[in-house]
Amino acid sequence: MNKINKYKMDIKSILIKSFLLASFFVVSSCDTDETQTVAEFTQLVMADEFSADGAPDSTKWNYEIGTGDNGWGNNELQYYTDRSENITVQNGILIITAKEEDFNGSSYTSARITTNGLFEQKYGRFEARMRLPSGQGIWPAFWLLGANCDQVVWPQCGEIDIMEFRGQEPTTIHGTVHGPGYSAAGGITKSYTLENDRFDTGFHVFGIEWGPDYINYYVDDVLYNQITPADVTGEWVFNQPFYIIINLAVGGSFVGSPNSETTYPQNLLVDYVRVYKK
Amino acid sequence: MKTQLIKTAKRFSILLLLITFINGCTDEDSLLPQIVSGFTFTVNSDTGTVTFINISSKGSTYEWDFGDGTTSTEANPVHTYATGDYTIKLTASNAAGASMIFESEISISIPEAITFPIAFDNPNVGFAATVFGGASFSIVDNPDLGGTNTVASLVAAITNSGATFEGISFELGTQIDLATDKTIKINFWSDTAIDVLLKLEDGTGADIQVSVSHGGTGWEEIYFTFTSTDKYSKITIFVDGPGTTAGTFYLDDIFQIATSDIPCTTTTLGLPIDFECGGTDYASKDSGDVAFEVIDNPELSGINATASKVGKLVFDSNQPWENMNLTLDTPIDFSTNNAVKMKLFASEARTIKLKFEGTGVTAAEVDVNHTGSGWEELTFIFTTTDSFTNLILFVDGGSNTVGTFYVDDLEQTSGTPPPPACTVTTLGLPVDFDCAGTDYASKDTGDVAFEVIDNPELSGINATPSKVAKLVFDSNQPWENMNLNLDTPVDFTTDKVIKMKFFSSDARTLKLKFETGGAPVENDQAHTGSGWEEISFTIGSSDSFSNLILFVDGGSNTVGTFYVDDIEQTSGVVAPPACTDTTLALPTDFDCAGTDYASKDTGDVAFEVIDNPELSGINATPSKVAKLVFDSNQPWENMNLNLDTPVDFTTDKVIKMKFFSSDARTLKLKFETGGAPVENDQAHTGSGWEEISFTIGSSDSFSNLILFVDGGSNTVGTFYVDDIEQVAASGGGGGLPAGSELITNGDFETTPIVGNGWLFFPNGGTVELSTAVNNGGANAIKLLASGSPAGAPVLKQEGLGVNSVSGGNVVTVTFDIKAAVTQPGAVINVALFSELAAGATRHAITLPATDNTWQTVTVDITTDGNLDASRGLSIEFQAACGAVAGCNIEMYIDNVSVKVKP
Repeated sequence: MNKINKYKMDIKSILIKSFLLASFFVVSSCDTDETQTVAEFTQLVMADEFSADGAPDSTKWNYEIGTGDNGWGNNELQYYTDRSENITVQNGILIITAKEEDFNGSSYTSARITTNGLFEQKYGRFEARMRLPSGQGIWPAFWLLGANCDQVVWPQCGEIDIMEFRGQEPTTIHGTVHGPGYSAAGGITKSYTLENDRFDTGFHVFGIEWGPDYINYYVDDVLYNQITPADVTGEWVFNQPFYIIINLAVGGSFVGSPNSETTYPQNLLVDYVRVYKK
Repeated sequence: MKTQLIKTAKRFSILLLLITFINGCTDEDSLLPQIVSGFTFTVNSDTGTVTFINISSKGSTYEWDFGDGTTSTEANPVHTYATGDYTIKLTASNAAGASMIFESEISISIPEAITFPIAFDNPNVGFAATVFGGASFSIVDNPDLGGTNTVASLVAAITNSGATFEGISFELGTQIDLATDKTIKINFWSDTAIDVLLKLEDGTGADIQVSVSHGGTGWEEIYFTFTSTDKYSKITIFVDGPGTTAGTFYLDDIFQIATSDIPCTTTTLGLPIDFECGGTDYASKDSGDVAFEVIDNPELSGINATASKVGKLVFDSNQPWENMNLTLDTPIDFSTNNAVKMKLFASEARTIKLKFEGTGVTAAEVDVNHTGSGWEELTFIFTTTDSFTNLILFVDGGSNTVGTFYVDDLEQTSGTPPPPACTVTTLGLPVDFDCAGTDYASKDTGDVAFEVIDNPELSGINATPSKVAKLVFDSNQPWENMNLNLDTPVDFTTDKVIKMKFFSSDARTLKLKFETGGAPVENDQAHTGSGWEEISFTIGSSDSFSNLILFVDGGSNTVGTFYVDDIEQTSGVVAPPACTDTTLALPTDFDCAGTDYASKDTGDVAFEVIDNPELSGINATPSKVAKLVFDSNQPWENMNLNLDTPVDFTTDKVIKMKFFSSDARTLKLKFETGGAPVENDQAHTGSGWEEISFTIGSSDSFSNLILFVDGGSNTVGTFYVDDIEQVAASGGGGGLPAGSELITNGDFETTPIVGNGWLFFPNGGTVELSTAVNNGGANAIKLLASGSPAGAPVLKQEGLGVNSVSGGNVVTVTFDIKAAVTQPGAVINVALFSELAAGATRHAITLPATDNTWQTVTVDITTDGNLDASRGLSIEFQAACGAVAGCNIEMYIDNVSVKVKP
């Protein structure tokens, strides 16, 4: 056993480097139409590998509990809790579980965690490796909110949705920004669809590379969108620190309500969350 | 170690990603697919059920070794473990035969249920008490080693806030069964003298409780002894139940024990004496000259066959008048009860003398013979009324007695003398053949064989032992008869009916004739041959007669043996037969003289059957009613009628009763003992006598009918109940359909709404009672989502049809809704939930377009096949507003009904 571990440990550092190199290599060799600068952010500043079983690391994450206002502004149906049956870390994976149950007046329970007050950063590479749940009305998301959203009313504080997903469309994710004049249904968005694969059958890396006056959207090694001030129909509010949110919603205006085909429990698996800077 | 393994799996995933990219870009296919095995899991720690989430990649088949000897080949298996530590191995393989193993450890600790004995030390038991009324609960180290608890271990702490009826309760994993052992022992700590109330609930019988005083000396063992033979699932402890003592108390070592195992601490001697008290040194109380010793009963037989202590007396004839002489610390006083009985064992006939002596009084003694049959109960009846301090027992008096004897269970009793014997020698009606002074045979001049004997046929209307007349007809001649010569003639001036009890086992025609006096007169009546029958003869005369003559089958040559008893004269008016039924069953009108209704009630209200004091409305005819006095000594006071014939809800599911109250009340009718307990609430408007119909959602039979007034409130008041009956459906109106109403307070007319069926979840909006807007009656419920944030208020009722609705039932949901909606973002959610063992299935109810008028919505819903009947259904109404400013919902709900479809 010890011997095997040692062998695997040896590969570790090589692999991390290989991955970063691969990103360069793949993009430059395959996507001949894209000429943007990528992978500028190489210095790891925050990471959660979810290596300790149990509740998420409270020095990195806090919970949002309850139903928010109006189902977190979206008529979502779930009640968020911090119970272990809704959120736990096991075998290196963060598991957020949506359950159908009768709880405090809601029909579903799930969880939502944020780094609000614990970690915020202006610009950088924000990425998470996740396996998504699926089914009508299931809505996982990995997104950022402006750190000043407590003082400045949304959408002036800004929102960067790195990944949103409708469970009934298991091959497609959406990357969006919201700001003044381009919020809610008017957000600036682009979808990315996997060919011959689904987001609920394996892990994928969802990330942005965000610098002054641009946000590049990635799935795995694929750059699929760049948003710049020229693309938005209002003020560019993305030159300030943002914090991270990960949640799994049930129902709501983005995804519609679940139906009788939707099964429970639904698990959102997160292998890691990493943030880099230059 | 584990972390390293996991991280290893992660690295492999990244490597695969890398390979995939390269393949995709280069269109080469030279690398074999690499398998990565991995999994994570979620645990239900209450059940030990682990849901495995397979995160392997490139595998096509999986083999799981769950580490407990079981395996699986599913991709994402669910496996239930017992408490323990396990190593799980997942082997992921592909078609080419490559494989990789991932392993992970899991530690399962399933909380064990609380079962007796409870010592609070088992780390696997979740000692989560339910607290109420302000009390709090925790598990702590024994803070005060001493008294009856010198062991350093965990104990439970109860902290009272100072409110009345605050306390804690435990749900027991295994019911406590009081069939044999009826005492609960608790090691309890208090530094002030206080009463502790222990209540047992959720049982096969009515809730029961016992209060015991604690001396306040620290740890003391206190004992709660019950009389019930039922089983209970919940134990509740109130420290200073109705009082308001604040402070912290500790308890430990809750055991169920036999009542006889309660240690006796009494050191003094007084009657009754059973020789069981460990605190009493009986031998030291004896100053007699026989060898006296307390031992285990060596002769377990007859009336003393249960293992217990007895007094052993060995007479060795060293001298005459040997005796046992017990000095009583508590003197025996014969002023009221003048007898003493005891069990005494002797194997040959003896004369037992019991003598009492005392200071300043004349000694008293009585002899009773023992037949030598083993244990016999001897009763010594005294004529003294004095008090005595010494109890002295002699065997065969002054003889030089030799032998060993045992005594037990000495107690004082009333020495009721026999009733004075009857000395009347003359015969007149009524005649019951019981007067020892009357020579009945000499009064008969008829030609049947006549004899007065003990009733040989104790049955029916003549089941009590007494004397009867035996008549033997032998057919020596026609018109054989019994002819009684009455010393006091019977006078028919006024009362013209003669009643008698007559026994025959075949149908006969009886002729009763009167002679000697007026013109002879006779009357025939039929006997059906059913045994003892009461026969009434109407005599068409106003004269007096001295001879009462009875023929059987007239001039026929009758052969047979018959019995006669209780011949009496009555008025011609035939009184209605008195009710002799001693059993209780529905319907009941409290009018049966034979039924001891009070003895059927085991509830805690004052219960009494009286003449209806409120002759009015629907109960204006004089009759008996039950009077219930609620005095608020405790919450949930009730009337609890034990039905000798259980009520069966297979077909008829409505119980009607008349109930008198002069103020509005909520009545809860509950049935227990039989099927799963079931209850139904109905409102009384306070208008006096009202007929209340309760719909019972069960198909089972029950022996206990329990009535609560205003539920757990500390109800005070006097109410009357009458005419409880079971009917097919509630009457009145146009006749409601036969389906059972599952909603409580569906018209919101019983307030407060929360607590009478409904729950409010404002969720940032408003849920409230509406009297201004309603659709019938005085009330409806208003849900308001308005402003910013607008909120998503919810109105909900849980536990519909618990233990009556089944999976797959079709239920009809009906409600009235009036909603004014301003879009965008407004959603009204109405749903019925089938509650499952874990989770629930949501049945959404589609609404018509709202138009701010009252609309009635009716929909049929088939419940989930996996419905957990013990949790039933829930219904929920929600007004939810979206993020966009301007959304507004003002909605009203009224007249909610959920019925199982007939």
